[in-house]
Amino acid sequence: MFNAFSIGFSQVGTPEIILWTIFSVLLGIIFGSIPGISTSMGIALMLPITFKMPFILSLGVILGLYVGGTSGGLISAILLNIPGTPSAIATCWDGNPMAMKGEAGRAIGIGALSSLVGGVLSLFVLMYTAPALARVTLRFGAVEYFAVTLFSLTLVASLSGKDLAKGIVSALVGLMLTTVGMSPIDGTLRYTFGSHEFDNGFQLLPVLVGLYAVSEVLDVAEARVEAKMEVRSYRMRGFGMSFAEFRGQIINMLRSTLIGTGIGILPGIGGGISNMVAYSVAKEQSKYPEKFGTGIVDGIVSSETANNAVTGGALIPLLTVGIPGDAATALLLAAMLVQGVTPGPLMFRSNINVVYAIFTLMLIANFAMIFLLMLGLPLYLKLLKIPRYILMPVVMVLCIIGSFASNNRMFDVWTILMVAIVGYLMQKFKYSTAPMVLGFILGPILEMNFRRSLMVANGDYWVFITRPVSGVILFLTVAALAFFAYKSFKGTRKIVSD
Amino acid sequence: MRDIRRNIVSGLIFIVVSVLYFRGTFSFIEISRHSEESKFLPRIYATLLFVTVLTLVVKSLLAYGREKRKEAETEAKEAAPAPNYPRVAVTLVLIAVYAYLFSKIGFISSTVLYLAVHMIVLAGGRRERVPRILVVSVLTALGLYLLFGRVFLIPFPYGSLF
Repeated sequence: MFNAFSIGFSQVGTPEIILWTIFSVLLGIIFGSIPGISTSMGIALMLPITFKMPFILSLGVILGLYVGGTSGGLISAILLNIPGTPSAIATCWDGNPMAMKGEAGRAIGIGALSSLVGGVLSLFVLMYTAPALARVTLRFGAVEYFAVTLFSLTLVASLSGKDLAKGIVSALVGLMLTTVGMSPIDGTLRYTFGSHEFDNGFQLLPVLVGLYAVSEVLDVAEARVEAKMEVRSYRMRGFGMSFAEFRGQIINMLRSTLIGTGIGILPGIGGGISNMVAYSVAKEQSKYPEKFGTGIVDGIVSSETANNAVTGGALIPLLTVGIPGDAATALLLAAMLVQGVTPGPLMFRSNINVVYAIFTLMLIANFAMIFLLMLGLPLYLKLLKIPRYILMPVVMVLCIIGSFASNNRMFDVWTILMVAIVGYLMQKFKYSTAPMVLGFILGPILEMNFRRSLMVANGDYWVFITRPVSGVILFLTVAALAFFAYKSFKGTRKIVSD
Repeated sequence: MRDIRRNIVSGLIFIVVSVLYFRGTFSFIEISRHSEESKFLPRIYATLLFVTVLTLVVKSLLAYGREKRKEAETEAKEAAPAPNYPRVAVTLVLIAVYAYLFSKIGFISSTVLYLAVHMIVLAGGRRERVPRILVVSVLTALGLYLLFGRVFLIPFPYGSLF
């Protein structure tokens, strides 16, 4: 491990990279703390700027935004009772009651410390498991990659909503959007309607911006009552926990780290779910479950440890298989591809320095996060008071600059508008857009490996079943789908009988 | 009840989408002998969408009759302030107009115009907020131009104004 960090520090140890990483953590905390601006949106807005940066520096910016954004949500969760990001939903449940008792500073300190523990422990999990997993996935061919991607998609569709059918529809819409433009391998033009603008298809950045940012602007537009920002007063004193209290939370922290890292590995689920799962498990295992929700330390610790543990977990599939687990890691993938580095098992052989640089940048970002969270509170509180009618149009301008700058073409600007309308309508019809995003991210990987597999097998479709690893993964895919279909069917019957 | 109606309406829309999407695979511009394979996954997606959505619609139609009896009670529970759809429509139009003007008249002028109008719309047209909005619009547009155009050297489209 020391070897990894010493090589990593030799890669990132310039003042420019360290300062940019710290600055990005600060920006991430700001994005994360403002309700309506998600971590992915923050990364999407900053991505075009990273294209012109040296590679390691661009990694520092994105990882800093990722870690900062995941942690920043706790500020508004505790002080406003509004989670800045979905990752901080469960933080509200005990953080705000603690703030109402006049202990807001203590709640923020505990949240920041738990975030650091979750982030650093999940980084160690990443460091120990990723190289071993990469050795396994190095043997994977296109057939196995296709099977793994299909399995990931099935999980996304099944787990991200109450209704299985709607989850599948949403994932299919995302997949269908990826088929616009030139097909992989042969360059057949599909769904271009005779316009060359469509030849290169829809790019990731405008699609994400349209779905996350513009949909949020439309949500603000449809609200008849303006959201009031009543910020609770706070007073900071250390991390808000004595050493004895910290020792009493070690099991809770370890358990929540495992939950967060495990959920982070699964594609498409991420911090939004991990904090709630960890909170409910902590409550179940507690000797005093009745105190949860009244402002106790255990609740904040479980939620904040788990959501930051997702950051290390989500990097595992990206680094070992080259498949991003969520929108934020998909943007990291985009940044790496632009710079000519393809994540995946080969990176552990040919670009191990980059892997170590990522580990080191994650460590720097996590430690920067705790200090910036504690020291920058007055700044975040000022920003939280910006009225929505001012904030949202400015976000919209940033979206348009970001989308235009990624390729210097107006088509991407029109794409965000089109995708925003689709995303808004889907939300109105109660379709979760998370499977759509993952469908869009995984679609090109799925099709590329499908076509490659068929080329290698001379068009024999049985190759997906006859190859043992692929066969097993496809069996698991069918089993998972059947399990979730059964669960959904049982749930529907219960609702009807009730 | 409202959810069931939503499922039926959205389901019917997606059925049309799946049919049109499948039909679209016949008009791909083929350029090599592998082009036939490029139709395979789109057709699978279209078929899966059709089957899934059909299941959703049938399930919702079956539940429709049962749920109708509870309608009065449910509707009373669901009563909430109606979303401001006209403002959503105005927002979409403003974004479209901004995107158009962005490339025609230039970044600064189009951004000042867009920010001012959109902020006034979102602020509910309250007059006391207008001076603040105008100042914020001008300063934001100039600030963003300096930050992205001059510091990060991101190119903006050339407009006829500035």
